[in-house]
Amino acid sequence: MEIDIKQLMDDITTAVSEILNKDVTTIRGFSGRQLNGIANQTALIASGIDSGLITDATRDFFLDQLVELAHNFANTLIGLMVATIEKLWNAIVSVIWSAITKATGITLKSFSPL
Amino acid sequence: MNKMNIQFACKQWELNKWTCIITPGTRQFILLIVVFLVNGCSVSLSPKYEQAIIDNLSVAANQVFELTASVSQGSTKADFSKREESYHQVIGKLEALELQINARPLPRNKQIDKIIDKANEKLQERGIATLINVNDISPSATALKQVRTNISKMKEVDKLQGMTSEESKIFKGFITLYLDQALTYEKILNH
Repeated sequence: MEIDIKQLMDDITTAVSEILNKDVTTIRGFSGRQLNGIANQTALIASGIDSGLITDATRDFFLDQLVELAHNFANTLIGLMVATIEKLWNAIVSVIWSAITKATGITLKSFSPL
Repeated sequence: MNKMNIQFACKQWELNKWTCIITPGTRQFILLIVVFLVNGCSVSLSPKYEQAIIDNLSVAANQVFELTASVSQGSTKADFSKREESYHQVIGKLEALELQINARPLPRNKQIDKIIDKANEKLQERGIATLINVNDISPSATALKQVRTNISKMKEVDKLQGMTSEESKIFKGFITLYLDQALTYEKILNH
């Protein structure tokens, strides 16, 4: 049986689009919440120091935490992107694997996602 | 091959690049090679999704927010003893969850490590500290560690002098953002 190239491309496009639509929405929402949160925390700490409502016991800790928060936000963003790339890779390979199995009739070793 | 033949061949190429030069048999052979190559290049990039981690994260988050709610208006060191047990329970829960996440195998990939090394080199050239270490644990574990650090600091300040409502609000802000990092990362691992 011959492989329908157009169908194969459509299947790959569908698989990729589904993942991108879902994950990009998640990543965009996460970034928005985090950036908004970091800005709010910064403003609260600045006004708290200014008003004296933040005491010496917490001031340096909060300032260090702002750095840690931004650092792990960046690392989480990298982690989210890497996870999405992995999903895309698996989806594309899975579609190709399935097309080959159908076209050749050969029982290939079943594709196991990463 | 004369000029007419070349022109015809080029026209055919433009009309249908695939069917012009690749026979069905060749096409299947090429696709087979692609599959084997792709399969041979497979790499594991992220840790495995575990529903139990999501469940435990949700339970821990509830306990954490119950504790932060109890000091939302600030606190005095005089009634610290009423909250001491809650602090211990929450810190213990977070430590157990960190252990659970860290026990999960974290795949190592040389290509990803190279990219991270390059990114770090560029950052260091600009005088910025290392963004991510190739030996780092997953960002969800780091986020939980920071939640625990915040709860421990809350406990320390609460015991020492009590907290102002502003301090309590800022602690809760940090904790909420770290829990968001942990939950979002763990959930996206679900394939």
